[in-house]
Amino acid sequence: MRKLYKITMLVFLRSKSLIIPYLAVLAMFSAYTAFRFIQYMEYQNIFMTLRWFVIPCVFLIASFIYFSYELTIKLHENNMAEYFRAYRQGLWQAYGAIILCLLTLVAIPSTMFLLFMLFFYNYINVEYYPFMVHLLKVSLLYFGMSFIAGILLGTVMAAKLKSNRLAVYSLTVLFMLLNTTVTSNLFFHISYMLLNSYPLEKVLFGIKDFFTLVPHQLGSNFAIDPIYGLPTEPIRWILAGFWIIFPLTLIMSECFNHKVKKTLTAMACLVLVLSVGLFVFRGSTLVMDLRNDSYPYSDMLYYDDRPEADYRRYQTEFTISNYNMDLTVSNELHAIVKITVDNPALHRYEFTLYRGYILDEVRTEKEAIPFKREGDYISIGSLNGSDHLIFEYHGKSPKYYANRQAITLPGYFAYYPKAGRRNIFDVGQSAYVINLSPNESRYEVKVHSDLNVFCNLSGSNKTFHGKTDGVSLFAGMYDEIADNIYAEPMRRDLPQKQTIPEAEQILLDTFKRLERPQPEALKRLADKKLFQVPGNFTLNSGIEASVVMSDHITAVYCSNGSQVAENIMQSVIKPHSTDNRLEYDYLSYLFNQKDITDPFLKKPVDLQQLLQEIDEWRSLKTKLQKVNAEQYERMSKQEKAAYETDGRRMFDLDSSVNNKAALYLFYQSPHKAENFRVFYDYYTSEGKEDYMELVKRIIKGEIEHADRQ
Amino acid sequence: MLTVNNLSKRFQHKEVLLSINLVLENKVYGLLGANGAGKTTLLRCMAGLFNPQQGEVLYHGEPIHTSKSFHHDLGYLPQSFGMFQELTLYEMMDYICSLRNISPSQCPSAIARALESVNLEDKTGDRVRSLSGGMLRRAGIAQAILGDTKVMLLDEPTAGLDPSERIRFKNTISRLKQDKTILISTHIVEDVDASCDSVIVIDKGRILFNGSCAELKNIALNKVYHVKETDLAGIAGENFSLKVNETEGKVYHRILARDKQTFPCQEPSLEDGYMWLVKGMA
Repeated sequence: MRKLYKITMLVFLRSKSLIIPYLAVLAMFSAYTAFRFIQYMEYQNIFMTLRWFVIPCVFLIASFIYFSYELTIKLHENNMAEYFRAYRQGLWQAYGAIILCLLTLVAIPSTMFLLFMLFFYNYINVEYYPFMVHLLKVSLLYFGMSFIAGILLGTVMAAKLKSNRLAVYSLTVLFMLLNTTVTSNLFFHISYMLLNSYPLEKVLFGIKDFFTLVPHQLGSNFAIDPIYGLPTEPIRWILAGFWIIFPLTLIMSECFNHKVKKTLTAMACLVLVLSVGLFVFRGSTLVMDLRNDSYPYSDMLYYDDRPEADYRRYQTEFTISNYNMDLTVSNELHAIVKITVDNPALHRYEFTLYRGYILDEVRTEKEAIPFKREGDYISIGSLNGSDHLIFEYHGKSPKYYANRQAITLPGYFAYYPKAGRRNIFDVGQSAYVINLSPNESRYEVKVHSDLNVFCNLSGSNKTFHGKTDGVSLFAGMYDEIADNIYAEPMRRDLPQKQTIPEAEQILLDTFKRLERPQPEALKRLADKKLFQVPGNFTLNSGIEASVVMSDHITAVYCSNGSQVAENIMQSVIKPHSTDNRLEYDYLSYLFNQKDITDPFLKKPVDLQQLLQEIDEWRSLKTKLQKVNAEQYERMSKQEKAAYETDGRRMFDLDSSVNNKAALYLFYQSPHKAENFRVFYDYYTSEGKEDYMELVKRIIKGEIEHADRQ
Repeated sequence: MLTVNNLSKRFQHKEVLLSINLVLENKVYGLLGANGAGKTTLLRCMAGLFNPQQGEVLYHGEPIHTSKSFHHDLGYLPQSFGMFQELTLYEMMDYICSLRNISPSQCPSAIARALESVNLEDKTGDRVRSLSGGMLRRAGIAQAILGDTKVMLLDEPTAGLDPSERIRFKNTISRLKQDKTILISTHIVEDVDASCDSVIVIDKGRILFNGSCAELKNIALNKVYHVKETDLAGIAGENFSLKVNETEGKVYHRILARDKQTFPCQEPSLEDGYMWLVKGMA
């Protein structure tokens, strides 16, 4: 075999159509990697750089398909396959030598990338061993197995399609496109623009996913969560393995006759069936694209159609005093949760459990209890004298993933049954709802996972216990970076030990300034554990920047106390707010986050003009809102032009009115302290008054006051 | 000894070989047949490349698929033969030596012998792409005789060869035939006449004849006539014009006729015997 390998390598090296492109690809790959590394030195963003590193992967796979096809096809174009097959295992030996030769060619960029990753790890100097393991896994999966799959795909196409280059290169282009976001956009548009069909979308994306060898697709702009890293879930390895074994068996079936051929064909079918089966039941994976089931859009789209009546009409007449949770995190979450209710005499119990978790059984210790599932809600009748209920369920959430790669299950999310009917996603706010228990329950939690799991409760060895209003679980590239501070160690904006005490002091001062009592939940923050959560938590939810629970805090951005304080205040006022722009400015001015050198802040606001602009803005808003799509279609050209002009004017005013109002009320006004108070009361009350009406009232009051003086 | 027992091969719904029975000993056999008669399919089945629907091929009494020695003893030259264009002739022969599991120490001598047999010993360092069609064909024969080949299946080995190369091929076969079973598939009757001890005629997937060249010739004994074109109307019964030639300004036909004619009889050639068979006059 050594001689065959050597001579095959000679064929490759002497073939100009192969060696020149190969060297060119190597040179381009090296130059690209170096360029991205230089960019890293400038921006210091590890995961953005890592994302850029994997982008050329699909081009490299396509190159290896080309190299392998063009090398292997020489066997067929020179009519060698026929007489090689006449010798015992002759054709298989020839293919084997070609594959070995191609593996050598693959090994060069793979090893280069692997060594570069080790260098990169040393260079970034984070000293976090799981990240190095992750980099090695990424190298092996993205730059090793996917390349090997590429060479075997090229070889099998030469073996099966022979000299039909049009078919071979069309399939290669199709394969490449399936590994880019081009097909995401295309399949999305085909499914909805043309046929408005969710099942079709599922099928199309299912096919696409099965062909996705590069999980982080070319064209994807979604940021990587450091806790997760690049996708390397078991299904990725299984798919990569499939795309190696399946073509290999087909190649082998081409080389042998009779029984061996039949056996290999049967094996290829078996591998296909097995892989498709595993793929169908792949469980929780990170899906970041346009599809309905993806992290950014899934819940937003689902809850958009849900009637509020589903949860508003039910009153909860019980609380859960104890939870005993046995959680197994494999490819998805499998849970057995035993609860104790404080009021066992009721005829009806309502619980909330996120719809993605499929309820297998509800039982007391003695018997199974019939239940009714409606989306996120579980309705149960009498408990037949028992005060215990056991829920057995399994499933996943597209956003709050739990699999073999990472776990992000915050305590405010209904990944375990919560008493009563609660809303999961607030469509009006376009955000997940913070669902905490009204009481602190006692928890016993056992987690079965290969990952090192971090929890707000005390305990070790994946067994936790204690009292809280919500259990949060985090795992993956996650660690306790300081006493009671947990974070993704790869982030640059890590919380510091003094972050929470600082935030607590700032909040204390702020509430003093506001002359309002500090909410109980915001006191003794420094005693709580802090969990920094992935940045993507705010991707489709504006209220998760910071959540304060009875014994812990989750926060996305917490590099300094002021930022945490602002985010915590946002979580206090957000549930009542309907205007994002003014609220954002309110918080910025309240926590002195504005750049005071900004010339905009120095220019005095003309209040009369502001009042006129507010009226104009509101009148335009009302006028434009009255026009529906049908009416717009019926408009004449001139009417449409006028409508567009009004729209542009409203857009300009929208920005200027809010900015000016905030600037005056919270910065330039002599009564700004009072204004902060008024707006705090407004934001934390249940009042339905339009915020701009309040702005007008305050400004008019101040004008009158000034006139009187 | 290579035995073909009741071999049938079908592609889709087309029967290509029908109950073929053959016993090949250490001799040179010519497999004669028109294009599409089933020659290549028969050779491929005998080389183990095709799986027949019925029957089997035995080598020394053992099915070729289970025989340990068959693939080692087999030398096969396909109808269209090629090599890696980027290699030298020696490198390519060395590559084939490896495929045929010839031990590395024996490779240089085996290659030298094989190339010498086909008069290509001076081309060892030449790239395959620089060889002429005839040289490449001879290189194909060389790869088929590499090592200790005992069975040679050559599919149209003389196709594309010029007359001098065909003579060289004939000489090569004469040199090699000692203790070997050689089956040469061809549709060129002269090649069989020149190189083969026995001839097998195949037509539409059936064996029409299996015997010596003399026996095939004898089939047409007293059936071949030399007839002037002007006398053609005088031929009685079923007949067939084999060849037309012109001698001293007069056109003559070589006629195969079933009934006794008044015209002078000719000595039958191998081609006459073959044509007698394939035209269904036997």
